[in-house]
Amino acid sequence: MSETFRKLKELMIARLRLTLGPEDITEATKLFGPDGLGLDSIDVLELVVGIKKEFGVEIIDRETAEKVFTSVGAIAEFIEEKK
Amino acid sequence: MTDGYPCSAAILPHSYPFVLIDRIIEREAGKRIVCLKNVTFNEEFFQGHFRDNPVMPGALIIEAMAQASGLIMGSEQQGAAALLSRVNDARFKMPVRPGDQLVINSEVIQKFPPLHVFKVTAQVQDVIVAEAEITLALVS
Repeated sequence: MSETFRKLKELMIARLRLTLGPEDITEATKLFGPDGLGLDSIDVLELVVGIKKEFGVEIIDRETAEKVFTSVGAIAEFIEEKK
Repeated sequence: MTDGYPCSAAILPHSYPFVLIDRIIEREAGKRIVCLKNVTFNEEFFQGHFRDNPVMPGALIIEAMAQASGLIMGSEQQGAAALLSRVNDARFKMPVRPGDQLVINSEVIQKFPPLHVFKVTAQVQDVIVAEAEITLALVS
């Protein structure tokens, strides 16, 4: 498990006030829908702000966001690529 | 309509009795705005909020802040409506009473279309009486 992935999980749990422990989130965990974390568009905005602050990686447009915000692992991968 | 009155900025779909901005003092489209709301004893809500102790409801101060913020986006997306999506860290520091002149300052701090986040303060005689971070969704 990469350091980025571990930090990202912590960030998500704190910023989105998830009632989950880090062990409940895997790289395959989906962000949306009932079988995922069930996030909404405001949560995504919160994540965008958090990722910029924590990793210095900016996600400006919806198109990039739609590609990146699929699973927790996909976000971690994107951050590693960009930072 | 004269410039400076909020209805002329087209994006504010509100009308009587729910226009909570009297005048736009300064506006940098897409960035920031300074608006004014004069609070008078004749406001309907003062009849019951509260009968012997008139205080402007905090919820309406937030509404005025949201309307001011929506006006920033005025010329950027004609025909769109700005809907309140989130209110963070709202604080009401002093009661707002009849005769007070609310000066509302709002600036965009984050854009992630359709969501826009604004840092907003409301002042009476240069003292901050309320502040909040407001998120609006601009939908067409």
